[in-house]
Amino acid sequence: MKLESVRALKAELLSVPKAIVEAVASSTFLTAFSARHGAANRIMDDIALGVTAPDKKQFRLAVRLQRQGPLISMMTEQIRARAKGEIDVQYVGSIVKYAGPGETTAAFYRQKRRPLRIGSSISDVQTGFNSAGTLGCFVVRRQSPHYLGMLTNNHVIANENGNSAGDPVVQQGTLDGGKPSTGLVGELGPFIALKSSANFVDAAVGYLYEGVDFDPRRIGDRGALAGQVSVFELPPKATVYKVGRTTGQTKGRITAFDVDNVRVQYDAGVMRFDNQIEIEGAGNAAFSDSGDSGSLIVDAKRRAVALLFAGGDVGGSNGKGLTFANPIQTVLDALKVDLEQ
Amino acid sequence: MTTGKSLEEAQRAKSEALRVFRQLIGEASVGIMPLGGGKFGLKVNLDAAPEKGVDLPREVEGVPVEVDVVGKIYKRD
Repeated sequence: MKLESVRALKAELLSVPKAIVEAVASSTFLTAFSARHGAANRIMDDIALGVTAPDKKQFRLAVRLQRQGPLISMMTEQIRARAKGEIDVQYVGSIVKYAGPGETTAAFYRQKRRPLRIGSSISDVQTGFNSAGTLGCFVVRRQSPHYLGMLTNNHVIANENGNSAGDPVVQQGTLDGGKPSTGLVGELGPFIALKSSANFVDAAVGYLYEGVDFDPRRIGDRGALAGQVSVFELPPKATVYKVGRTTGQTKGRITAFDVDNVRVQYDAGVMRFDNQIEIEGAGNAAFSDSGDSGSLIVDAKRRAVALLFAGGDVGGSNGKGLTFANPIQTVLDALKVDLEQ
Repeated sequence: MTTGKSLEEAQRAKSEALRVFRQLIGEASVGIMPLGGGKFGLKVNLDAAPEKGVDLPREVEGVPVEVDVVGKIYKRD
């Protein structure tokens, strides 16, 4: 079709022509006449229309379905007939606004979240001790079987090497009220053991249980995760963001990279880290605080840059302390996983 | 601060800076600090401010050094 024809048809269909309503309403799917008419009139609420161009000269009507079912199918067929078959139909599911009330605040991420969200509170389960860190993002195992996993720190779900593969992972974290009976979302998969000599990552994966709904990409109100990038490809003092369990969504800037001999206080003692990324908060705020461990750090284009794991309360140009993070590619390679796209 | 150096020069100076600062004040961490215009310096983080009279270098192998007192660093959980 010509572009003008597609646009005209789109406008016509969006006003829901009586003929289409009648055609759907006269079907036998719904028995009561009034119910059929009501459903047919509302059905366009679940169908979005646009223009698509398979090539530079020909255009088609783009039909995007937010729901599936007999009435939607009938309506789609009516639209297909009106467009003489020149339509492109895709089921896209429910479309929701990206950031609702509270989606940048800490309180949002401390609650139970289904679907699971990047930035949510997460932890292991330990007798007599509650904790909470942050679910960084979703990853997939490189080798078959390609299990889906939740990326975070060793010290968040592997208890600084104290846990074993298969141990439970809960959302929200136990410090936020999560329990195995109501919050079990997965089990500990691979983790990189922390050691007394130089470390490069503090990282672990919790394999996601089947049937646990998750949103693989949404990052606060920043939009969707869009791949990854090396710190070497970023401009000086690059702006970065994260969403985390304790401080919610924050903004900062990378102040140094390849930082060696970062000495981090753990329960098990002081561990040294090399090749780390240093970040300070923007304005007068800290970039992170306790409980933000495991947060994914992204750049302004929402590309994954690093995995947050440590920080302090002093220093930086605003005096609010520095945050340290593992380069994301080093983390993914160590765990033999890729970002879920 | 002197003008920054190339990334390769800064990376080469990093281990020497770590050695120098360890000798002067004990533990320190050292990283590459982007300065813009393709130039880089070194960022040195200290647990605590140096004692009076300790003269910290402002450059190592010609690479400018910025020192920050950052306190102890903790895991963030």
